[in-house]
Amino acid sequence: MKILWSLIYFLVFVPVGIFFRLFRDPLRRKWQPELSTYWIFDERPR
Amino acid sequence: MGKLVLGLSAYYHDSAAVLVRDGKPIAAAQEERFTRKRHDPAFPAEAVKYCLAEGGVGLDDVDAVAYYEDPKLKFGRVLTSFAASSPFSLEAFTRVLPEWTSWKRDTVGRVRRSLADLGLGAVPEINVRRHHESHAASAFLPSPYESAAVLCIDGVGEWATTTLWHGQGSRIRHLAEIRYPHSLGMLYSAFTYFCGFKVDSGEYKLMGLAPYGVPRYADVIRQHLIDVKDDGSFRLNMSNFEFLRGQVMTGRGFEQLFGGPRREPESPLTEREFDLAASVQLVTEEVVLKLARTAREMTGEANLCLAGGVALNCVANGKVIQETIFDSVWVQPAAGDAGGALGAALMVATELGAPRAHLAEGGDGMSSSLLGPGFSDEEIARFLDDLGVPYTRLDEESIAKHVAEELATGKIVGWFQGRMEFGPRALGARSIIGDPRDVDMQSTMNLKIKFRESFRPFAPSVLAEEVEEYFDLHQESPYMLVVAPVAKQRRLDAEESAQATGLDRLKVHRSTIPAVTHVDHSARVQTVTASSNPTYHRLLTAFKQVTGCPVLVNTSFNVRGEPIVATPYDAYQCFMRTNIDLLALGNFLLNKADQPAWREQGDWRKEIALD
Ligand SMILES: [Fe+2]
Repeated sequence: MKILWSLIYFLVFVPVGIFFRLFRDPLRRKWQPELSTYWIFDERPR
Repeated sequence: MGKLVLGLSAYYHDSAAVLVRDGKPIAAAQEERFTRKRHDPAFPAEAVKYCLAEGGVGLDDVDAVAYYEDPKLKFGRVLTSFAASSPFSLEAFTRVLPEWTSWKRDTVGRVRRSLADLGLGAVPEINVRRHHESHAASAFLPSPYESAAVLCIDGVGEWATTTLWHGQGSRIRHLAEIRYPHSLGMLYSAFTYFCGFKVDSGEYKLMGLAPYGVPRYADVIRQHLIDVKDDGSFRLNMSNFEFLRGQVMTGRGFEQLFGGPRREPESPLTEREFDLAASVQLVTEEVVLKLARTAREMTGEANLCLAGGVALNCVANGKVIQETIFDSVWVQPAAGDAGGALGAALMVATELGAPRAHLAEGGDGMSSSLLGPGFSDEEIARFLDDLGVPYTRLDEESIAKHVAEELATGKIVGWFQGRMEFGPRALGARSIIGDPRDVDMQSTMNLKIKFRESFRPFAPSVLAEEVEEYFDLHQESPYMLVVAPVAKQRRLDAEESAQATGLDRLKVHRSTIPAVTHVDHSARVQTVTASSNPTYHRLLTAFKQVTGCPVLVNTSFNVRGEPIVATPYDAYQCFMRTNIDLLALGNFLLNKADQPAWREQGDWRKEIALD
């Protein structure tokens, strides 16, 4: 079972993760000195 | 009968159930008190049974069930986090994901089945709320304010970790949020872990440790761990934290920043831990103050309501009050996730048309948080007679007088009265009480009663009408969630205190109430009024009559690692296992010296996991 989960991880999650890192990080990890705020106002609350 | 809503929180930390009738909480309890497993995350079966029994109803009578967070949204966050932290999260992924796909994804189905299994009637509709919506509702709806700013700060629920709301009448409007992994709760927990304490319970210890240190790492934290904007919004520097990868809170990043590996749990505390605690506490306070100012600006309100695990940081709450950013601040007594059950239920009740009736009466809608099980004199008498132990039965006035006299001679008393508290604090219903003027009381209580670390401070209860005589606090603090300085006229030791460092500061005679004066002259105050808790008020009044001092030491009725006692049996067991001298169970007084020898198999101290 662990092998199956590992396969899913490498075949699905790792490529998606690379995409995130290259194009759009959903975790907004970068510090952005140019922004005046990190508050999220406009989107649907999550 | 009025509309009934059953609120639930479960499967993460500190499960709880709450029953709300027409918008008023009538019963609430954490599952841990019944199962005797600290912070029990299991489905709160016993708490639900208690709430329904207290309300005299079955599930058939309940109009709706409210669940405190949205499992689907949370699952999305878990999946996203694993992808975003790949390829470094494989180990956690293979451990956590099977659990999500097998049942956690369908938490609501599991809640429905667990409720049905109780055999207490047909399960009504289950209404799912968001985690921070539940916190916000728990902060605002029972608060004494017609309108207020609402600030919720915790570790994480689904995505939000910090949210700002505007409460008006029965409505709560979402204004802004900060999302995972950027979390003030996680920052604090990372330091809790790094200093060798347990995450999700050792945060109190870190807060208690902070006054022993100097905040020499605050700049490192500001430069390398958290970027805070002027409006209090922030982001963490995730390259220095490990929790995204899922196994532990901190790793090499912290080791490099703070000079070596984390402290091993239970090993001796060093200057580094004192200073780390002081530093993260200072930065947390800075952020909370900025967030509070933003809340004021964005809402224009004069009152603030707080909830979420970080709102249990009573030192930060005290700073918000001291800075007078708001005219008044109210903190939900069950500010952690147990209180989410209450918030979710109140929100659904409000949507079903329930009014905030307590506003007309003045005060808050929490019934002093005394919402747990209580025991009549007849039940206690039966328990004691079945046990066959000696006791004296008194009336309300004479038990208060008698206990006060014994306290004044240095005796320590188990005080078990009325309904149990909802939330993490003992508020005079399930408390261990002592004389705050006694210089040895702190170490006696820590080492001989609670069997816990000597550095941990104790909190005072004070007659509300006398609070300003003893503390620099100008509003009520009925739930012991505000730290305030001991009043200048009660302090003793300026010179001695300035010279001592680290744990040596414990030995300094700091004030006329040394047992409840922390090394920085602060105290986590509980104000007690005759209307909010008449029995406890009577005891404080009696103690004042005997000694002239309207203050008592109040600590939770348990030993280290154990949930607070719930029943007379739990109380008697704790009384006999420890060096408590007297036990007041309702109007029944038990003297340790008269009790038969206590025998149990095995060493109970080994059976209770350390917190
Ligand atoms: Fe929370």
